[in-house]
Amino acid sequence: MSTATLWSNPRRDALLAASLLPSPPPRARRRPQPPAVVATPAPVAALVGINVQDRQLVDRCLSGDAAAWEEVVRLHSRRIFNLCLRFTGRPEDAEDLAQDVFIRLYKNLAAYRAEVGSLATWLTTLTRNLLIDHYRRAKADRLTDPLETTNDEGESVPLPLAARGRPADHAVWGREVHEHVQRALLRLSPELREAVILRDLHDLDYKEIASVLRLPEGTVKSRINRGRIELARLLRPNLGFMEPRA
Amino acid sequence: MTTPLTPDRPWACPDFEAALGDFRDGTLAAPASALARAHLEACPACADLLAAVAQAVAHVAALPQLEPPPRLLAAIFAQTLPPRQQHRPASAGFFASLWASITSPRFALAVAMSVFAVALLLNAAQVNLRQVSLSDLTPASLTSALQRHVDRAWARGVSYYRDLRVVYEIEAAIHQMRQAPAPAAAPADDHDRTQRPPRGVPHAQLALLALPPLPPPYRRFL
Repeated sequence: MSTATLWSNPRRDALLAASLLPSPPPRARRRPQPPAVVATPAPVAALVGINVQDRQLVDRCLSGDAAAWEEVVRLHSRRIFNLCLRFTGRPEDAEDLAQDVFIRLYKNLAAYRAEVGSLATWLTTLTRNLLIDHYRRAKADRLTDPLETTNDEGESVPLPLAARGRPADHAVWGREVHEHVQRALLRLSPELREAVILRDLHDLDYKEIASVLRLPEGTVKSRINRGRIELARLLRPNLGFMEPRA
Repeated sequence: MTTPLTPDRPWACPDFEAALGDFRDGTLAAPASALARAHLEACPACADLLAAVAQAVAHVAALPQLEPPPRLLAAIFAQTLPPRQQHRPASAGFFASLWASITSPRFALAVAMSVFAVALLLNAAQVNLRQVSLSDLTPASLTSALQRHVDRAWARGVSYYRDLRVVYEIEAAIHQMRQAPAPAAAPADDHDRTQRPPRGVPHAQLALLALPPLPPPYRRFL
């Protein structure tokens, strides 16, 4: 996805909201959403496409093909590492967690059921469970609020990111924006954070997220909506700073 | 997605927030969508929120996907054995595990320590591997050689101990203290010999005569 495409969406949506035009259909990269139903395992007859390839790849791993295992790791390591990174916000934690994910996957490869879902979904579920475990373990020593500070009256006010001025270097500005968004993500509760990351960063559809989180699709939609609103409120004071120059 | 909102009344801000996701996705039913648009027209705060949500979504989607460090893949491959070892035949698995055990550092260290211990014992038993004969390896010859080593080591130890000046001085002091209080009583045991040192006995050995008698095999060194 190009940067121009990314930046064009907010303006388009803002214009749509202001002019009260009908809402556009979902973005083309999103798959069409089925009616809201509780996620259930697909029947065996529905085993098609990517699940068949996953099944064959796992079978090769189990039959002793080391190259197949390497392929599994190389196919999914980037996505899993980034999922861990965006959830924890710490590269070193993300590295350790991604390593744990693949070691656990290696030990449980025989338990993969292609008729239930793709290997990517299964791996994402595995990662999500480890991330929640990590979140609970690290809850005690979590850093304090990085987005806000307090004023003289002790009231919480947003970090004046824009007050520092826009860096002349576009790359530096972009890095600051990404760090700010990452800090805002960390402010969300883990339930909302994982839903927003899976949807908006990893581009999973509602059905896949429901399968990963083992929740009804309605609950998934609600969490994504609440997460986005909370994120927007966190970012809103600095949206001007985060807007690219014309 | 079905919405719990009733279409027979104007929406408030919480109503719009609850349906914001569906409104953005365009999956809101027509009556609800009309109510949402009507609310947006009357509520600038919700219009701002809608725009801010769109920007927040775009910012999250724009977060870069970083490449995992190479050491992560190396660590994963180092900690996961090749899957081919999981489903080998039983015999192949046995030999593979045997070979893995033999080539492990722990096994090599155990073998080295065993060789060292055997070499030490053979040296103590005075077995020359270059000129070894069957008679040298009989239990009797091995035990007698070991006994010789033990006896020699004991004799050296006792000799060294006797020649220590501090030992001699302590023993002499103890001997004088024992003699001083009761000079009239003439003890009749073996310790009495220290009062009349025999001729020809080295001076350093006199103190040892006052020690308790040693076990029988080692008395001969005195």
